[in-house]
Amino acid sequence: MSAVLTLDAVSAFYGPAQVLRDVSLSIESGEAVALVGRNGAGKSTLAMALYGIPRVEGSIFVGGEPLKLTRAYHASRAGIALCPQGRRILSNLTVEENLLLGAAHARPGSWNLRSVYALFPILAERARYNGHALSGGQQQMLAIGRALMSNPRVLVLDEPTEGLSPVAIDEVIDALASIGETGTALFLIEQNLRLVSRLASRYVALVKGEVVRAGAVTGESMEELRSTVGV
Amino acid sequence: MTLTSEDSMERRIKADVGSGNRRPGGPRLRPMWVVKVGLVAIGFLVPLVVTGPYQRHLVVNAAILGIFGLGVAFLIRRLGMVSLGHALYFGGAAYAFGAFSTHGGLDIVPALLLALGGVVAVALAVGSLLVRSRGIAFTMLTLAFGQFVFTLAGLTQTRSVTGGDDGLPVRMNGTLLGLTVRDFSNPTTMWTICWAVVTVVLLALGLIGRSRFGKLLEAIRENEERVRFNGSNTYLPVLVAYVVSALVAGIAGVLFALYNSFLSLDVLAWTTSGNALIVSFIGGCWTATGPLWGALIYTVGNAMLVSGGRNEWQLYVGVAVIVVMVFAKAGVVGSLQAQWVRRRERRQPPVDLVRTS
Amino acid sequence: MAIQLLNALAYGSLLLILALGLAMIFGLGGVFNFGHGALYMFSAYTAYSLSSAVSFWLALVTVPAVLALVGYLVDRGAFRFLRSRDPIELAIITYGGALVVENIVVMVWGTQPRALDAPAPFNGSVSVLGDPYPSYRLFVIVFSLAVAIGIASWLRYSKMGLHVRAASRDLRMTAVAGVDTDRLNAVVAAVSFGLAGVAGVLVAPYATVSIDMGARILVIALIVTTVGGLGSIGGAAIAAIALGLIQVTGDVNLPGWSALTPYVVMIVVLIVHPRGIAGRIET
Repeated sequence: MSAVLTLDAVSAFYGPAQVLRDVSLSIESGEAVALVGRNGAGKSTLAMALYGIPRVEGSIFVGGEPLKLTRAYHASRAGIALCPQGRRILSNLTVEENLLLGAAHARPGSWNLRSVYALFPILAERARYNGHALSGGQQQMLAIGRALMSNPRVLVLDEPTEGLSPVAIDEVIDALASIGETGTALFLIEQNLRLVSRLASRYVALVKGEVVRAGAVTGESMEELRSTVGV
Repeated sequence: MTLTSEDSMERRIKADVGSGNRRPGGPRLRPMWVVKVGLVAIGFLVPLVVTGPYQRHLVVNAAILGIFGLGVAFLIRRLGMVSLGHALYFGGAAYAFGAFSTHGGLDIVPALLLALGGVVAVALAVGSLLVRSRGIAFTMLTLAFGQFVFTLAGLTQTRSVTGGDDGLPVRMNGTLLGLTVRDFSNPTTMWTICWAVVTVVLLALGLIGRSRFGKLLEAIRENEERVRFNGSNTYLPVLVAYVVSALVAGIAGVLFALYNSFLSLDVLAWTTSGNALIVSFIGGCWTATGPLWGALIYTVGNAMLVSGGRNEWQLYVGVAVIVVMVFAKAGVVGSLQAQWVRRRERRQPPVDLVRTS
Repeated sequence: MAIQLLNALAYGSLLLILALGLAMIFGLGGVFNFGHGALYMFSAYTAYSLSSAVSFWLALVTVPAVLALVGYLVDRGAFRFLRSRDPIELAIITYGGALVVENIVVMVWGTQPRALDAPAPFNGSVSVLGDPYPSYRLFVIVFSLAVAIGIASWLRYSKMGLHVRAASRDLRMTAVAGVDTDRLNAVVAAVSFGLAGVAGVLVAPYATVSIDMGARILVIALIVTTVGGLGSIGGAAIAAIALGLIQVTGDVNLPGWSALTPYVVMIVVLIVHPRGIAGRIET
């Protein structure tokens, strides 16, 4: 096993405010790692930092290669795909066009329109609909499908079940589990520990932009997180 | 999105300019006022220094353009809203004054009052439609309204009123403060009038800026959502600010008509609105007097560069606009002030210059 | 009636080409390019000179191509570094650019208006329902609509068109999905400049070429863009041709007043839909 995504002392700044402080972590290929922390701990900033979007210091490696942080598209082309917070489905594009956008610079791999439609049959049914005509759960599937279209090495999911119904949450989790089985690493940004236990094998906890603890996801470690980190 | 920028330099400039009587420590306040009153007094003596009739003509033109710029810059400074249609009020007031005097046979004073009243009425009507929009949408809508009136004034059907392409020679009747048409066309007399108007406009805009109303406008500029959330109406204050800015432009238009006693359709064209915008940005929209300096630079530069019979004036203006916007957003006056503030800070421990809101 | 309809189509299709160019840059970065009218005017003058010296058809090929290249370079060389600025500041910078271009035209060609004869084989007239009609105008209609359909198809069916549409809604998400949005911006600037070039060359044998032609039509094109809805080429096409129709029929029935119709349309839309226009413009 080799590290597919490595952060080495990454700091991020919004203007003069430092949002992340020397964050280091590593994700092996095929692994599912959860980033936990309360609102405002810097979780979403970490996701955007992969794209160099706030001012970023430190180094990020994808598959051992240093990732250029000068422009947002480098990360995608290196093999990172993001399902952003709020999903950000493009409402002026159809479902299929949203998926095709994800394939803007796809790496070689098994994900294409057909395999995404096989994973989420509902998207095939709605292929010609506008992106915003979907329900919340369907939009999340579309966001995941769009990310998969680039054949990523790491799939970064920023609160993928936020605002979804329990049924939709189960569907999303099942889909993510099956994606994980194909060898794609999952980087799950989440504050819902129940979800973390169902998907991730390891966790990294973030408090005020710093990594305060990390370890294997077990019943006890989750209990501990609940009391110490307060998620 | 507004035109304000987060960088601290501009904040400092804004705070420095707008904080005359807000800064704690009363003693410093008085010398500032003495200086200001002194500057106003010296302004009236300008004809002693500027002796040539042509040079006096230029400074009068600069003053009129500067007042126009002050009106346009008021909206930018207080609300971050850029109008490209204020020729509607500048040219509209000038034409209204001209028409009331020439066709209506009214005396100067009623014609002037009616013209300015008309500006306020039109600004209320147009503004009530416009001020919901913000940002570039507002700019484009002001442009469309301005062009509407420009096109209207150029129609053959309105020719009997506006004179169309032939222009409108303004026939003035009666007197204003004992002055007649003759006096108004004299640059020395006109300078005194313009300078008095400049003083009054600066004072009025300054007072508005420092009043609670001004604070409300700034709050709207910084975060309109929050103001609304706090239960304040934002539509009405913006509309009032728009009317104030239109009125200042209208005053400049009436001065223009008084001085030139001839009007052509150019005064309504969007390039006229553009000129007011250009002098505001070149001088600095974020400072109280920036547009006046911008107008002086513009007018004198025009005279110097065009007198040689060359045809490159627009080129220089275009390049100047680009250079200022790219490298010195605060404008000439604003950048100089920032320099001065920085220097003074180096000499003494920094006073709290950041807005205390 | 058929003649009027054709005149409306000719005028409207030129407006459409101009409005499309404006809307493309606007849609992507929210920047209103005040230089668009100046580019159109510059192209008309260049077409006048090239036609007189060599051939109109050479102008129709080279002028848009050169302008597209200039648009690409201006975006890569200048606007790329100013992308974080407020769109209004950028608009004012383009206003300065418009002054520069206008002055260059004055320096090269003077302020005298120019007129250009229609090029062969469209220098005659054809019979439309028994009335003679200048065949060049028919060419303008066909060519402009072909260009508009070409642009629409590019946006609708090509991969890059998909990226342009995506970026006009959410630039950051488009970049996150792996699209080089800087390059996309430059391509869009190139297309926009090129469209100004097409409109300028087409108009040269159609109407008098003068210094103020750009500034005058810019506002009308802006109205077409806003009334038709940004990003909606179909909407812009309907608005452009409807405006052309109203204006041309108005010229016959209400001479003079018809010049006001674009503004009246805009104001009416504004009253009916105060947030509508603003909302559309800002997205």
